[in-house]
Amino acid sequence: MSEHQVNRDTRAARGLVRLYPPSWRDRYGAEMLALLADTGVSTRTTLNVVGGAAGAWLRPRGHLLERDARIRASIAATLGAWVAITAALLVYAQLFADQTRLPDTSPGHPFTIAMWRACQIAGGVSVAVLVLGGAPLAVQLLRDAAGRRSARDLVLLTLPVTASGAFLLVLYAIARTAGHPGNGVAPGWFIALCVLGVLAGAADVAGPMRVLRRQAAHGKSLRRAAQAAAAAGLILLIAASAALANLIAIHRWTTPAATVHAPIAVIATFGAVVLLATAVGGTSAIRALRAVRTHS
Amino acid sequence: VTEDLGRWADPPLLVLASLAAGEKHGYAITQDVEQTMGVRLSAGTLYGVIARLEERGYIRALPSDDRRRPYQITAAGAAELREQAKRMRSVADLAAKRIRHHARAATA
Repeated sequence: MSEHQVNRDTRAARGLVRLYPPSWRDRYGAEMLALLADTGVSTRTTLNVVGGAAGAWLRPRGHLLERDARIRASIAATLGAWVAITAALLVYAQLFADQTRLPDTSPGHPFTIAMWRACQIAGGVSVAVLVLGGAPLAVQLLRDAAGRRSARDLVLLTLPVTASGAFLLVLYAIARTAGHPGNGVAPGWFIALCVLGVLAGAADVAGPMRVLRRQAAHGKSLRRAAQAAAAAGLILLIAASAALANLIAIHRWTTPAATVHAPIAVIATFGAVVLLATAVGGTSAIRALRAVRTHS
Repeated sequence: VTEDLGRWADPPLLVLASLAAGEKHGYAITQDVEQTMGVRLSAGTLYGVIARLEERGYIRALPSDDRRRPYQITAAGAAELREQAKRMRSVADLAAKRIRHHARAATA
């Protein structure tokens, strides 16, 4: 075997091992790298390892990670996926909500209205489930941080309020100064606001999740939060499916004279974000629910 | 032929059978299983099986300075292998008996 091929196999082996969950890699990663160095990395091996990694994510082994730690990590990933889909839905709502009120989507007009309503209802229910299910855990974490007088943890835990609030303030200020009545803001401002919104969303998730990973939260509130995150994610998927159906309907039925269109690139980007977030969030939710089930 | 048997050549049993002959690391297990049982275990399958067997307490990892960590079958693993072998033997005996009966009926 040439040196070039050895280097290529080593890189490929490292990439394959990275597909496994962190706890799995800590325990078996070095051994698997040694085995792949001995056997080489063929297409068959690659497919086999990819399948093995998927199995390791879906069926975590009990001896590799303490159950509460797995639930905490899975809640973090599920919530991250939830925020990604929510961000995609907010951009969709901002860009396409008006379309449902325009007569030029006919004959798809009633359909787009129905899908828009379904999206709104499912989105609202999803937020409610997440807030109600996560509230006991949030209270537990805040009490714990206050008890320890950890200003850093308190700041991280309140990030969903402060980061979202700051974003809304910026949004309001830009709408007041750069907005045009009836036409919103210029495309450049819109993209800047989207980027800011994504950053605020990332901060919303990253703050509490960082505390959650470090603090050994456990008990009923943790399990309830895991169930709520899974349920909220599933309901949000209904909202995303309705939005996707709406985008496709607008693409198919809108007349050339319409003021709003749904190009294929927009549909593909929206679909890709939802698909990726569903894969990550769905896997994490299954892991969390399995861990919760073994508790009870 | 072994490849065609699929379900009968369950990777966990093959790994347990291999370790019943002595402690081995991952690569040695794949070599032994391929040479003695005719089944090639890829890395993903092998470490999925090792994780499952270790979780159930059927095998244990031995200390090693090398990253190739050897594994050893435990008493619970040996008991499980014995039980599975017994079941497979009874199925094999039944199958052999019925094949003989079928062959006699065909020649009669």
